[in-house]
Amino acid sequence: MRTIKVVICLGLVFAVSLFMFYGSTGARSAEKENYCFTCHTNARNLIKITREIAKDDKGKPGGSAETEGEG
Amino acid sequence: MEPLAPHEKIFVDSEIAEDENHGELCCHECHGGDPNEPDWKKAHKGVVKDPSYPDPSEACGACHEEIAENYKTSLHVSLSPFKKMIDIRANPDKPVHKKVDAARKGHCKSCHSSCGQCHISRPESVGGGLLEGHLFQKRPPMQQVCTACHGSRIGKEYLGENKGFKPDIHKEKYFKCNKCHKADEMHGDGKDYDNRYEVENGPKCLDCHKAIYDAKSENVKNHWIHKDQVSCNVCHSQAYKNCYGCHFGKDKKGFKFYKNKTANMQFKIGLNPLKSGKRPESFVTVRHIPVDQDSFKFYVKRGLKNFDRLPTWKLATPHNIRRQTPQNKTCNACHGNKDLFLLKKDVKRKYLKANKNVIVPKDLIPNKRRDE
Repeated sequence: MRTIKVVICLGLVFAVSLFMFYGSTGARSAEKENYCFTCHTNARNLIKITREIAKDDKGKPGGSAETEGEG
Repeated sequence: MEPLAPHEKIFVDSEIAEDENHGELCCHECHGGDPNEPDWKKAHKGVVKDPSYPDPSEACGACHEEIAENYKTSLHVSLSPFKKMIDIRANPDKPVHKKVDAARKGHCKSCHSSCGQCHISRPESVGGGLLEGHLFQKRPPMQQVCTACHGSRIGKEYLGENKGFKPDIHKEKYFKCNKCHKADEMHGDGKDYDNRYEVENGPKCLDCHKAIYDAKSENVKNHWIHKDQVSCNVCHSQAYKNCYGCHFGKDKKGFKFYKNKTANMQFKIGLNPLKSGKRPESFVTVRHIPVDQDSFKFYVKRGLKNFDRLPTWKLATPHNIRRQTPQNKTCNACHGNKDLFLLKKDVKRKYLKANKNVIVPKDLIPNKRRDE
């Protein structure tokens, strides 16, 4: 009886760890990216950086004002 | 299409980590840069914004080998008909032709797409920006990708955005572009086609509407009478946009500009300029394209010396199909109705020679039917 309990417990531990491992494979690879992933998934941080960039670019024209009509 | 805020363009949805295929890849494997560098400016050194253009073989091609192999022949990437058409019209004098070609590359070629600019981001030519936070889109979203580029003509026609005209009936049935334009057509098949109508896997109305020739189908008689005589669009399109006199160049600050003088809504039936076994109809809808003798004038004089070698009224398949249209209400709505046909008087004098094979001679206009 005791042996059966041990086997069931081991089986459960194995199944749970397998499930957890499978579920996090993808996450691990992208998350271990550290700075690319953490920065680009953080909207607040991106707003801050893009505002900085916009400040630097202030006054620079983005394209020609002469474009007109449908194309 | 609503423009994206700067941060929205580069925001990545953390859900990408759950993508069992693409989530396995590290950002720098496709985009380069230094993932271990905390300073964003330094980290972005060497970053490639679109790793699928011009060569997708390492990024997308590592898994999607077959698609990447044919990539260069996808008309969305190569835009090869542009070059072919311009070369036919261009001045053969080498130094002049070189300038025309450089202008084509600088202007016309800037509207290309790529794997990434359909499945991951909006196309660069319309400002770019990630779709759904870089989650890979198997089917590119119609209004953020397809009609973002094909907007002023196809998009407005299909969506019914031209004042006084209805949307395409297929739009009302919730069809997106990819319902008819399948991946095989978009991805290219290794052949360098002269124009989009030749593409083997292009859409055909009869793929879905085969039953129109069945004995018991509605209007079977009309469909048989007109079979191979007129294209489907001749009876089922509404008026569509025609553009005239495109000029382009660079302004004082060095930015590219495009000017299109006139655009108007017209419906014109012309002689089929691309008549073939595949397109045997004598009469087709024709659309005026923006090209002009002076389109390249900013860069070189007489750049399109052989302008008249191709028509400016081109075979068109307007995307504003309706079951009933003004011209198919009755037989005589079309028969004997000169206004519908592209006559000499409808063509600007400077474009007459170019369109001589498309203009309908008056004696070819079908006579009014007396029995109606």
